[in-house]
Parts: sequence; C-alpha cells; structure tokens
Amino acid sequence: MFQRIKCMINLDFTNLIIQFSFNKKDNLGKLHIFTEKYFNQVVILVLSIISILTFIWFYNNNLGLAYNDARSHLDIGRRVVEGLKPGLAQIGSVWLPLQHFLMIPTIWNDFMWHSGLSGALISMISFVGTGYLIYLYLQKMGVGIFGRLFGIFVFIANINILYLQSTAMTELLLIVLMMAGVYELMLWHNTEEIFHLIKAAFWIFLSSLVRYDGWFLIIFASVLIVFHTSKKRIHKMSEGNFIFFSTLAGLGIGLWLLWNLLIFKDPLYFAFGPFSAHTQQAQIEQAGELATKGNLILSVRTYLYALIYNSGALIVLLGTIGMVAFWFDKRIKESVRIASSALLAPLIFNILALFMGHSVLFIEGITGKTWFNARYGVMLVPVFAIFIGYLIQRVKPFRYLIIGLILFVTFFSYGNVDAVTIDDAKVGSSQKNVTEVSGWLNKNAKSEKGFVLISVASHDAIIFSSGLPMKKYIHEGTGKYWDEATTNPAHWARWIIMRTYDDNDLTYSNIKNNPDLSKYDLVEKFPFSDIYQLKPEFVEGLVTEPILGKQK
Amino acid sequence: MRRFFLLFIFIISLLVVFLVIKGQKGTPLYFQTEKDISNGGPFELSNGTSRYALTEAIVEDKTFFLNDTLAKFASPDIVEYRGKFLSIFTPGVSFVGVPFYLLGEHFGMPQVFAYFSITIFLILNLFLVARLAYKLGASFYASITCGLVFAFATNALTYSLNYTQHTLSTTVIILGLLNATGKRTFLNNVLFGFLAGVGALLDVPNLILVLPAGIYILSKHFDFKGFVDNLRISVSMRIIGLLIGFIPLIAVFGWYNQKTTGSYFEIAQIIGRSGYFKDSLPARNMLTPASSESKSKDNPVFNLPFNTRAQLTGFYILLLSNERSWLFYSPILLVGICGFWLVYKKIEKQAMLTVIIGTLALNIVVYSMFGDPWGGWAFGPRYLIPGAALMASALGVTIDRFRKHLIFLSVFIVLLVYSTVISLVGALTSSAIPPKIEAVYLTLSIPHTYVYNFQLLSKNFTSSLTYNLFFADRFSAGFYLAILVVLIAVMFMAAYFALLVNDGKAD
Repeated sequence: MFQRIKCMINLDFTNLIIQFSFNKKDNLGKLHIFTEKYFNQVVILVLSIISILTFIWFYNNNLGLAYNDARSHLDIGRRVVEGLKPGLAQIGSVWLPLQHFLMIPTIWNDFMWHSGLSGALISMISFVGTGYLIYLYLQKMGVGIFGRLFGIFVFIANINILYLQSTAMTELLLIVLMMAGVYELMLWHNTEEIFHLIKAAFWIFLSSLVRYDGWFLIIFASVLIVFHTSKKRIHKMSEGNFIFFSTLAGLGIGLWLLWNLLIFKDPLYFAFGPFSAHTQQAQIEQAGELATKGNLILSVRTYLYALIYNSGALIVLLGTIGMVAFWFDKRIKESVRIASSALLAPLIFNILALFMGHSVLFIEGITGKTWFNARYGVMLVPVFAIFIGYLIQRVKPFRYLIIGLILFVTFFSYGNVDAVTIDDAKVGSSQKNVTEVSGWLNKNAKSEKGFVLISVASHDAIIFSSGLPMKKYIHEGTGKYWDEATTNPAHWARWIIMRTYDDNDLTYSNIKNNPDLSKYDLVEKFPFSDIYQLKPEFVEGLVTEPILGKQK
Repeated sequence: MRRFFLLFIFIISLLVVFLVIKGQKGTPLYFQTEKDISNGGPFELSNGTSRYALTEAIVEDKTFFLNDTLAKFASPDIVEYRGKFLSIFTPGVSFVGVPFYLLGEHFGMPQVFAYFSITIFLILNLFLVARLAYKLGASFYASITCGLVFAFATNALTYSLNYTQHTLSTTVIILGLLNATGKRTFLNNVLFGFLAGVGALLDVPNLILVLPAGIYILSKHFDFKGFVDNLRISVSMRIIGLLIGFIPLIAVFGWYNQKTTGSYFEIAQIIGRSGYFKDSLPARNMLTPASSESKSKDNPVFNLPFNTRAQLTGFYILLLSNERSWLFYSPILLVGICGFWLVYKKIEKQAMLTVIIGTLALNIVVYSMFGDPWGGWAFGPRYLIPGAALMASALGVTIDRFRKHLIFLSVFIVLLVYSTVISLVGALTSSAIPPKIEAVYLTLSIPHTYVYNFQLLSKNFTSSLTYNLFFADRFSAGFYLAILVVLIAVMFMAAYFALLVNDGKAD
C-alpha cells in the first residue's frame, strides 16, 4: 500500500523538512477517496468495531452479567421460547416488553442466552445508533466535521456507556429511541414536514415500551408540539398535530394497558401489582430508605450526583456551558432550540420520579450506604456529547484546550477504571452473588432427573447462573405446574429453592404450611436462599417429565 | 516616573512582607534552633517542616537523609526507606533554601533567612503577574494593580511565609507562560526547558501545569503545508533547545532520587508516607483520609494519583465551598472572568489567552481530582495559587475598561478590601485551618473557615515576628492588621490614581 508514497527528508541547519505525497490512484489514495465518499458508513463501522471489542472485553472480565437485572432480562426472553410454559405471556408485567421482544430471535440459542449476547446485541446496536444520531444531530446544528466527531468521542469514551452497551440492560435501547425521537422532533420543528412528526412519534412510541421515561417524553414532546403550532395561531392545526402525534406515540401505552388487562385481568397490574416498582418502593419506604420521596432538593441532588458520576464532572460542566451557549445562539432557529429542550426530558423525569417516590436511586454517601440504580444517571451522556460537540464549534480558539482537558481527565478515568455502573453492578444493591446456589444446582441437579421449584420474582439470577435449561424449573409463570407443585411439592419438585421465613418469596409463602415440606432435607443455607432436597425415600413417586404438556 | 513607581511598590511591598513574616521573640529569636511545631509558628505545616528539615540536613549533616530529630520534626511527611528517613517531597524548595540558610546561620537566624527565600519570590511574582497582565493588554498601572491583588489579596501572601512549593511553583509557571508568548529563539527554548525542569524539582504536578505552554511552544516549531495527499512538515531545529534546558535539571532530579531511593526514577512520594512518630502528632498533622468517594479499585489499570470520581467534591471544595474556595477567600479574583472575556474579543490575544486559560483550567482540573482538594489543614485553596496569579492577571483589562464606572469601582473596592483583609488575617495568624470533615471530630472545636483566624487575632495572637518583637506591648494585633491594610491600600490607591492620570494608556 505504501510503496508509492513519496517521502522526502531534508535537514538543514535550522529546519528538518519532511515531505510526503501519494498518488490518488494508488491504494492509499483510493482509501482516502473511499473514506470521503462513505464517511457516514465509516463512522458506523468504527462505532461497530468499538462496540464489539468492548463487549468482548467486558465478557472476558465476567462483567457483562454482573447486573442482577441483566440476568433477569435474559431469562424473561428465554422463557418466551423455552420452558414448561413458553409463550409471549412470559413477557410478564415487571418490565416494559420491547427489550424482551427484541431478544426472541436470538435467545433460543444457549450461547446467546448464557453469554448475555442476546440482550447485549440490542444494546450494542443502540450504542452504534446513538453515536450516529449524535453525529446527525450536530450536523443539523451546523457543527463541522471536527465537532461532530468529537461529540461522538465524548459519548464512546464514557466507560459507563461502554459497559452498559455490553450488557443486556435497557439503558442503551432507551437512549437510542429517545434520541431518535427527539432528533426527528427537532427536524419537524425545523422543517414542519409531517413525515418527521410521524417518525418522531414512532421512535417515542417504541421508547415508551422500554421504560417509563418514554411515557414522560410523550407528554413533553406533546407540549412542545402544541407550543410550536399554537404560535402560528391556528387552533385547528395545533389540535390536529397534537392528536396526531399523541395517538401514534401513545399507542405503546395503550397496548401495554391492554396487555395487562388481557394477561393479568387488570390494566394497571404493572403499576400496582405485587411485582411492580410501586410495591418495591413501598417496601423500601417502610424500611425508611426512600428518602427522596417528597423531598425535591434531595431528589435533585441525588439525580445530579448520579448524572455527574455517570458522565464525569468535567463533561457535565462543559456540556452545560455548551447547552447555555446553544440556548442563546441566535443563529439557530428558536424553534430548533426549543425542540432540543426535549433532550432534557430524562433529567426532569428522573427528578420527578424520585420526588414522587416512583423511583429509587441510592448514591453512596448521599442517599443510602451503597449504590442502587446509579446507572439512571447515564441517560444524559449523549446530550452532553452533543453540547460539547457544539461548544468546540462555537469557541474555536479554545477547541484544542477543551479537547485536551477532556482527554486528560478521560485518561485518568480509564487508568482508575472509574465506572459507577460497574460499582453499581458489582457492589451495590443491584448485584446478587448467587454463585453458591447456582453452583450447587449445576453440580447436583444438572444430571439428575426432577424439577426445581423456585420463584422467578425472587431468584431469576439463580436460574440464569445455574446453567440448567429453563424447562427444569417450575416457577409462578408455569401455570398448572406451579399450582400442582405448590399443592403437592413432594410429587413435583425434587429441589426447592426459597428464602425460608420470607413471605415475599412466593414459593415460601405458598408452601410454608404444606406438610410435604417435612419430606425435604435442608441441604444448604446461603445468604440469598436455601436449598431443600427431597429425601431419597420419596424420589420414587416424583414426576420428572413435563406430563402436563403445553400450557396456555 | 514608572521606575519611581515600581521602586515605590517594591519598597512598600517589601515592608508589608517584613511586617508579616512569621516568628517569635527568643534569644535572639525563637524557632531558629527550637523545633516547635505549635500552631501559628513557621513550623505549623508539616509540608513546610519536611522541606525545611531537608535543607537543614543538607547544610548541617551534608546528607539528603533526615536524622531521628529531623524526621520526627518533619513527620508525617517523611518516608522510611531502607532504615533511613527521607522528606516525602521533591527537593526543589529545600535546594533553593540552602544558600539562604547558610547566610542566615551567620546571623543566628537560619530559619528566618531560609523562609525568606520563599517570601522574596512573592515580590517577584507580583511583578511577573503585572507583566503577564500587561501582555494581555492592560495598561501599566492596571497591570501593577493585578500584581498587588495577587500578592496581597489572595492566600499567596500566607503561603509565601511558609516553606512550601506554591510560591516558587507560581514563579516557574508564570515565567513559563511569559516565555511561551515570547519569540521562539534557541535561548528561549533552553530557558523554557530549564523552567520545566525546575518546576519538576519543586513539585511534580508542575510538569502538568506547564503542559499548555509547552504544547503551545512545540506547535510553534511545526509548520504544516498542503493536505493529506501532499503534506510538507517543517520542524524547526530550535526545538532541541527545550531538551537542552530540561535534561540537566531532570538529571539533578534523577541523581537526588538515586541517592535517596536508590533508583533514578523512583521518587519518595511513590513509596508513600511512613507511620513513624504518628502518636506524637497534633491533629492538624494527622493523615487525612482521602475523599469519601469510593470507586472500584479491583482492577485499576495503573496506580494513578488522580481520581475522577472525586472531581465533583474537588470542584465544590475549590470553587464554591466556604472551606477553601476563591469565592470566600479571594472573591476579587472572580472579576478576572470578565477580564478573560474582554481579552477573548481581541483576536490577536486569543492564542495567549488559550494558553493562560489552559493552565488555569488544568490547575483546577488536576487538583479537583486530587484525593485531598483541601490540601490538608490549610488556608484557602493553596493548590490554586498559580491559578490565582492567572486570574489576577486578567483583572487589568477589566480595570482599564471600567476604571471610571462607579458601580464597578464600588464592587471592586468592596471585594478588594474583603479579600485583602482575609489574606492578611491568614498571614498574621495561622495557615492551618481544618477541613470541615475533620473539624467536626475535633475535641477542641476549631472553625473550618477563616473565622478561626479572626478568633486567633481577637485573642491578640499573631505569628508576625515584627509585631511580636516590637509592637506586642504597644497595640493590639487588630490595630496592626489595620496598619497593614492602610499600607496596602496606599499602593492600590497610588496605582489607581496613576492610572487615571495616564487615562489607561497601554504604553
């Protein structure tokens, strides 16, 4: 490739002159032309390579599945395709369904399930998509190629983003969908072409099926649309746009309510059911640990800490300066600036959710003694990336200074592996070290016949980590199997995994007074659960095959 | 006229400095042989005593190792290595103090003279800040005002009375900046390399703080012509001057390391403090825990001194808190932000401004990531003293612009008086104020702000040698403070009236 590069080195007393040139027809020249022509594709390719390498790195370091929730997401997807009662109903109501739906094409494969790749793949694609959206957003803001690329760099250099894109968590999917929605909303504000409004509604509709942040974005975007059209003083137009947008974007909410009605006979089951966040928060509140509820200042403080720990203090500082500069930039259309305020929807949503007690977030030393859900603060990383990209375009004389400072700090964040999401996953309340229980099951139950009675609501991580097939487990989502096994445990379950004396554990609460329990030996006691094994003399009468067939 | 004015400023500044240098009555003077680390004395800060102990060891024992007495005196800032004690700090300050110590011995005042080696650099810094302000486009008299603000309205005054690195580091950094903005001759490159080397000897982070100037200088030696398909890079050979200036000083540093730790590249700070004599230490010299921010330390790639997780607390402590920030200790400096804005509008000054703001930003960013942004028991943001010089240098253009603006002048005077009084009360009493997280656990309650200094002053306690020698029986320490304020005010007023008379002309 380099044989035709001309390189001349000339040294006189005062100057060393290096000169090289290449022919546009040779390979290097062709590469240069190709890069110019397919720049966008090159950006996507580079993002994809980074995404894959990062996944491999975290996978090799056993961090990809550190979050308890990541394992649960993967299990939910797996139960749709495998288990004693497979089917879409396994999607459940604990979490919004899009991530699990998207896993279905790949989760049947054992490697994709146990490596976490089935879920991580969605995060990885979202990562690439978000990086590209940052590029496009900055392009529409009139930022040059340098600023656009640096905006992407700020995003991809964030260890928390790199970590979450390597897991089966929902953050990256939510980020890309919200970003896409806001991007199209901004384009609609700029051009008023209805197609952009449709696309905005579509992406926001999808985001509303990932997390409740998307629901708030629907409201926020609707207000912006009404505000934008009402300035034209055409009432009908304003009303029409609002109804058009909110109907499309709100479709996901309607479908979710319908799903809950059809499966759980209560449209609000997801909100107030026994496994809902509301119930979880109520328990935390009872324990006196929901300190942000009703305390706006603490809610703001807690979320800002999460935000800064996830994004980095310098990034937040520079991003905020960029945001302020953008807001007062008269060269950018006012409607575009107003539309871009939707980028801040996650900030407002999370603070409100904390204040109203709908969300729980522990920041070590601020609220709580450990980390919990600290990853919520990652939502604004792409927003800061956009505004820093804009800032280095705006203050060109300081461009290299800003870049230098960010590189300097990034170097130390990598050197010290400063990633709050990894701490959150490894040492916070979000982690659950179930290796002892799952290891026991893998060793003692894998090659033996018989079912394991367990509650997925309490022990999904054990199911995942055991390496046993899903059809080995009888859980509350297996219909008749569950009913039979909790009525006659000794007839159906060779092993029972439960937290003894904890009524929150559905298995325990169902069988605690069952006389069959005396037919089991307590073989191991671990911090998260106890293991009961059917005494050898009762094994003979045990059902070890799925005789009830496919369940509805 | 200007020479006379400079002489006037020099003399009054020297007088002010003489009036605040630390000391106590004795025979002839206390602290010259007594290793008394009590509060308010010249040895109250262990980061000063450790450096002073090294100076004394070099002169008295002809060694870089500290004997048991000196090690106990320098504790906890000592390192025990192969059965010998070392100062944990780089040796630059101690080296500078050696000739002054020797001279002082002739007069029976080695401590006063050694410490004066630092103090005298405050006066030099005053004029260097003025020079920098002048280069930023301020008029002559406004530039002098900048220097005065730095010297007497920030904690630079307090730290020029201690045997610490801050004053000398500031000198090196400003000289580096002035050099960077000058013509790129071979000699200038040698000088810059020399300054960077001196900076490293004084304190390792100085190497980071001279980076913006260094990168700027490097960029001046490269000339790019053409584009990717036909690129011509020309490198000026004068660039070698940087290495020629830098290498001898780094060789000295390596030699010192080899003599102490046995390795050219291992500095004492990497080995870490030893716990010797810790039971006999006062509370202010206890090792403070790093910031409360925890982070995953399972697999750090390197063992790095700067923690990005601590940055939020660091920014807060250095920029906003009443414990250490400029906002509470030297709010006059914040007027400099306006100055930076005014300079930014001048296209021909933008390159220089970028280097200055780069150095300032790096100063803040580096120490915001430091585990202990408070600087232990300290007075004001001691790590930001070089940054204070840069902020002060930006005041000049603001003063020129608004010199007749009544509201600006009113605000400026209020902030100036406030900052000067805080600076003086620190210089006159103690540099050891506990961080809030430590103050709350003290059995004997000590405020975590400069309120502590006022409490000391109200008890007629002062660390001023001159006051303790000559005026303690005549008037109160509070009155002494007032005299100093008046002296400093005279300089500011003279500069302002000269500015008005010359109508803010830059030349």
